[in-house]
Amino acid sequence: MTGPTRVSYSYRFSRHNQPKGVDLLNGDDYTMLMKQAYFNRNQQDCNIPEFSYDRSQFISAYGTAQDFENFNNNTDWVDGVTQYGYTHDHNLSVSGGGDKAKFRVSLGYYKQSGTVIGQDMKRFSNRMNLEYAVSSRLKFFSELSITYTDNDKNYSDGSDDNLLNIARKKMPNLSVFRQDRYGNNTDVYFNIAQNSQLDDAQKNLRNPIAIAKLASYQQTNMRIMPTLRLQYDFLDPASEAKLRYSGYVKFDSENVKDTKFLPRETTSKNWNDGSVNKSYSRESEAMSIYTAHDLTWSPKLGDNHSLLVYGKWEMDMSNSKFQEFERYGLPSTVGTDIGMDGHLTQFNSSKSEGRNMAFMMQAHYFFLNRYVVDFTARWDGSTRFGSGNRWGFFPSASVKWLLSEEKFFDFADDWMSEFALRLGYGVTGNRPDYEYLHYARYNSFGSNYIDLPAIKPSSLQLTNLKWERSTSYNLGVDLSLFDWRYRLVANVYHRRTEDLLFKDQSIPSTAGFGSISYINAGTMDNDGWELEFSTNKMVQAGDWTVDLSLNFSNYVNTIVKLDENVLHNYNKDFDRNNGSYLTRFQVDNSFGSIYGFRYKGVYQYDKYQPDQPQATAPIVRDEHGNAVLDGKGNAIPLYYSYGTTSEYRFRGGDAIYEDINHDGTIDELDIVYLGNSNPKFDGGFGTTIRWKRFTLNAFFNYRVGGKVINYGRMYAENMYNTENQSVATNWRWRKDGDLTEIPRALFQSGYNWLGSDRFVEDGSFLRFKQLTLNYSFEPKLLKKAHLNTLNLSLTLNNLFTVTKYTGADPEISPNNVGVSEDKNRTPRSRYFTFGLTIGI
Amino acid sequence: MKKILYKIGVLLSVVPVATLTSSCDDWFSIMPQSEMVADDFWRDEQDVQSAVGACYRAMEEDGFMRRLLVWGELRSDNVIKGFTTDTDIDRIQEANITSANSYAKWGDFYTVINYCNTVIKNAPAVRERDVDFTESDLNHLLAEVKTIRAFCYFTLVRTFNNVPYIEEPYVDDTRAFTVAQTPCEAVLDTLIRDLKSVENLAVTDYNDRIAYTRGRVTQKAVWALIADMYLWKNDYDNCVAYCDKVLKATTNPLALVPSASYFNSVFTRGNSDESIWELQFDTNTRNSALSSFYGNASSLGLLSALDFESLSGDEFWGTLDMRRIGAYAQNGKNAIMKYVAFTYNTDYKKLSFRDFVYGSEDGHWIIYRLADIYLMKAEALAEMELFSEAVDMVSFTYDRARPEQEEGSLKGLYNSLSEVRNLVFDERQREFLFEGKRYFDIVRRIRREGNTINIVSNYLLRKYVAMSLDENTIKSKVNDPDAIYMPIHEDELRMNTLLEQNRFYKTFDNISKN
Repeated sequence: MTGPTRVSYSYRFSRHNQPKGVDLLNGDDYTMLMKQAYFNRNQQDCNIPEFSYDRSQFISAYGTAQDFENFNNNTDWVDGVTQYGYTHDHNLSVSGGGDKAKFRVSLGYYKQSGTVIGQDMKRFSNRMNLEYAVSSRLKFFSELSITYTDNDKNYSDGSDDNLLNIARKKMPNLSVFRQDRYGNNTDVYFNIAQNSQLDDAQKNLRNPIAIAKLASYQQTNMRIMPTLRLQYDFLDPASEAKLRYSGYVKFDSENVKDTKFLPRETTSKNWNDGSVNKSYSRESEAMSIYTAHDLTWSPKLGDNHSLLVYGKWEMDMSNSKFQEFERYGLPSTVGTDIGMDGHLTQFNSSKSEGRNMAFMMQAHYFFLNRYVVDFTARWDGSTRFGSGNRWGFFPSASVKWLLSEEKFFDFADDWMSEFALRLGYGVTGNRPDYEYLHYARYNSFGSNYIDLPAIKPSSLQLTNLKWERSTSYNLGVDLSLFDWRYRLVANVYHRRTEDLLFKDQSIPSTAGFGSISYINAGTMDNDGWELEFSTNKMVQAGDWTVDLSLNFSNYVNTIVKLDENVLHNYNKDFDRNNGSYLTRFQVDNSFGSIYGFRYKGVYQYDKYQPDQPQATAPIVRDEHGNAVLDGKGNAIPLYYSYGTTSEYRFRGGDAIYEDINHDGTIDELDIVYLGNSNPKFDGGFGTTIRWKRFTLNAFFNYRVGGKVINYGRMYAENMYNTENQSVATNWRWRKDGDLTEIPRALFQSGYNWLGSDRFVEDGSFLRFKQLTLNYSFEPKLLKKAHLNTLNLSLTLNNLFTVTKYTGADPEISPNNVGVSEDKNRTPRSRYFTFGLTIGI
Repeated sequence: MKKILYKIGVLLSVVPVATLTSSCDDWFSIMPQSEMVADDFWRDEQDVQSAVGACYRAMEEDGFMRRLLVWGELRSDNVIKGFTTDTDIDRIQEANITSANSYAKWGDFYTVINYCNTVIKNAPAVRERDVDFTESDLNHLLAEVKTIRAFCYFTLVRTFNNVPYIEEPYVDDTRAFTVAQTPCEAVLDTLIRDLKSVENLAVTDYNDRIAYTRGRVTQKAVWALIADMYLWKNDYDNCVAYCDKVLKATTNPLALVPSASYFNSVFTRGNSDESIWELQFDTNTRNSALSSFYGNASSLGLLSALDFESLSGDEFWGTLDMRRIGAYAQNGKNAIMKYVAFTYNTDYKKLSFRDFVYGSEDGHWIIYRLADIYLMKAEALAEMELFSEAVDMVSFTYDRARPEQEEGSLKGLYNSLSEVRNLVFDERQREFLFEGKRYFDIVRRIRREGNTINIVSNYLLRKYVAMSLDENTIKSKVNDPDAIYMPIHEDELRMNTLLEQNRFYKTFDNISKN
């Protein structure tokens, strides 16, 4: 940073695009689907006027056909809710200084509008760094960072879905605005009337465009982080030996304020309902102080060896508090402040604090230019544990042997730049998420009995909660060839985590508490390998330089030991409901296995067709596939869960599940192993190409193997409720003899979407993640314009994905039981960024 | 080399090691800021009173109240399906109870029991810290808490038959959570012994504070509970003895409210002269369970009343019975009015649904009242074959409810055991309609008779027939002496392998899989 003052300005512009995802039905197809769904269940015509396109039905149900025009449209809700998102990122920085003092100041302004309407964010950030050399040995640093964010988000009420998901569920024959009797839009948003005969789930689904435009959710965040740092060299900086002290104190203050308002126009409920003119306010403050002091010592040793010893003490204290209010029934939509008159429904406040301290010692010894030994010892203490278990000791050690420097490898010196073996061992720890768990705490009910205050024990005291410890062993090989042009890094590791912390585990309720917040439950192993290959100036011909990079990795999780309670918690019995898959935690097995039924298509006919052997009908068949006949020669109907409360007789058009044990009923004994979410390996590869002053960077990532449960497709094809469905349902079974893969529409009935291999898909993919093109102008050209640097760049993200997976995005990470569940309904956004950097 | 080692040594001693960590312990001892810690609690009498308040308040939680209604009322022949639906409730109404039904969970009751155990364990120690906390104050509070605990266990035992009995509170994670069940008779004996040890220590009267006298446990509530338990054990002599204690009490004697103001005084305003113990609700703590089951201003209830008129004509209610007037009204189905709605219209024979106004969900829930004592005594006397004394007891509530009939109109008409039994049984149904007692009466009679045939075919079946369910299917699900109890929830069985499911509800699912 020494030298003349430099000023630099950079600007980045991005445009985001939200791809549509699976096509949904339009109004005409949707109403036909709903009418069939109701008819198939009740075997009588569906009388719901909202699906009928018939004025007389409206009149006979409600006495008036005033809403008729609102239900005969073809609305593309997803289109109405998405837009192009734009980001503008400006940054100006000034830096300079001399021998004694150096400074850097930067100012940033970031503005973003989201891909869903009604999302806007502005952020101002400011950084000021100063470095002052008081003497040749003492240096003083100060950093200040202030960030203010003003975020207008879409309104959401805790349990509400986001607007994009609402848009995908909303009935497409509904209109966005209330329409007059000629079918023209007025300027009032339409909400379905409360007395409508439609199912509650659809009736109470908010109008997403009305919510985006009329309801507000504003979040402001102010974060100030000043840091003061000191550095002192005990020994002369020019000498070879070094003894340096460095310490800092950092403050982190963050204030967040949330304000929400839901006006009357977004709902059709009664004026005194809890969701009319609802105002919410939450203010939280958090303040943390961090300080760390360390000493680095490196003595002057001979040529053959060098030593570095490092010791550090660090501590942090944090406290936070928040309060939130919610009121409904405010008198108008103009005065939306929480202070206005209304019914108070929520009033919470809470305070919390936490403290941590750590001591660390580290030593690094390098001798004979080829042996490296590292050792670290760390003691961590936290207020989250009781005094018996407060401190954890976490050591680690590693050695690296540079074989290429050995005498017996001298023959390879021409072509082998580095060949090293690494061996490492380390222990790290993990804490629970909450404070105060080691106390027996009491809190108040919030309301009294008559006038007696009511104070109760709030939780079980966790007396023996300890640090979760992960011990890992690592073996690695580094190989660089041909003057560092080719580099290969390989790692194999084994990590054993003991005293795993499991959160919120159920216990027998006879204890008076339904769950226990944390237990140290058991031991888990994580074993894996990584392989990374990269080049540095692999091809250099004239002005061209080409480089490649490639990596693979994989891992496996195994349970070694698990507490009985936790095992019981996770290994539930089959609940016989649609849409649930079984998983199992088993000792000595990796987890992430998926269990369900085998889906075999759709029953063509309702009754047994003896003269058509290829035709499928819901009857019992033996293991050779022949129909089982009863005493009178009739085929026996096939049931689901025969003899239980969920008993259901399969009909024509229902899903065929394989009767694995041929016992004449489809139940939990027919559940089989369907696959595992663990991939064979995953990783990425890329290339960098340079020509003169252009640089091109391309990066791909991929995964091979691993199954994903496509819940997104399940919810869009189940035809079980009033949500809008995917266009695949136009190929559903409608009458006897239809040969198709999509079952019949059944409203709130049947078992056509049980957890089966219909929705378990291979999650392998190859994604072109990023392409960047960069051009930096010649300094000679720029001198005429009095500029120092000028760079242009263009980046394209998420260009395309090659995969057989039919869901929104195959790159799903496993959940806490190791299964990859894709509940997304929409794919990732694609965007490009254009950047400009000017330096004076 | 020596210099280097020396320098390393100095460095190590400069960087503090574990020995210093023990002095930092104070710095790490931070206390929660929105809650209290056990060491800071249990300091004075006020703390003990707050803990007792929590026991009462926990009984008013939605989960607890719902189960009082479901276990005591839902399966009886008082109610059939109403205007709104709920999957678990409907399954119970259809006699389709499985161990997956959420109303088989008993956690809410054990939460209250744990709060009571916490008070019993910690309150005596408070006497050492607070000089003003006298022995008799402590005993008053202990009596209250033991009675609440006994009431919870009594309800659990009546519902599940054999339940785990726990007296030691759970404070931390060191004790095993799995506890085996104790048989019903053993639990009842322990409870009776426990209550008898406190019956003379309980408060008899809170003087001016009516809400305390009716809302908190007093000596009469302890006696009433003991009498109820003796009746359950078929120990008739002791039951009569304890009923007499209540009837002959001299401090704050109880009296039946006259018929004209019966409903509004007992159920709408609450804390009437005949109430012994009722849970006090108010606008801050609303009885939301009751309003969703019986109905409120925004939506009609999950339950509706059985149409007694069409089934038994004038026999059941006579020409005018005050208990019928305020209990339910026709609105398509029979919407339940008791506790949730009221009327001031005195034109009794022409009252309709439109004359009622729904209240604000703050009606008190009555656990025991004087009428209960009369009719428990009547039931015991009937079993002891003292028929005329039993009919005298029944006459108290019968005459109060029928202002148009002569006093003593029942005398001399009922002379055989079965006639008097059925009279008491029907009178209890009329008096305690929708008060969460009918199903327990039915279970008590089935236990006494040893089989379900009589009660099911004469009483329970008509409820299912009124909902158009097939008689034979229902009989197969209800005609078993073990089926009268609720199953233990499957999650509880999975968490606690020492529990054993009720024989009737055992299915193959209970075999554990690995």
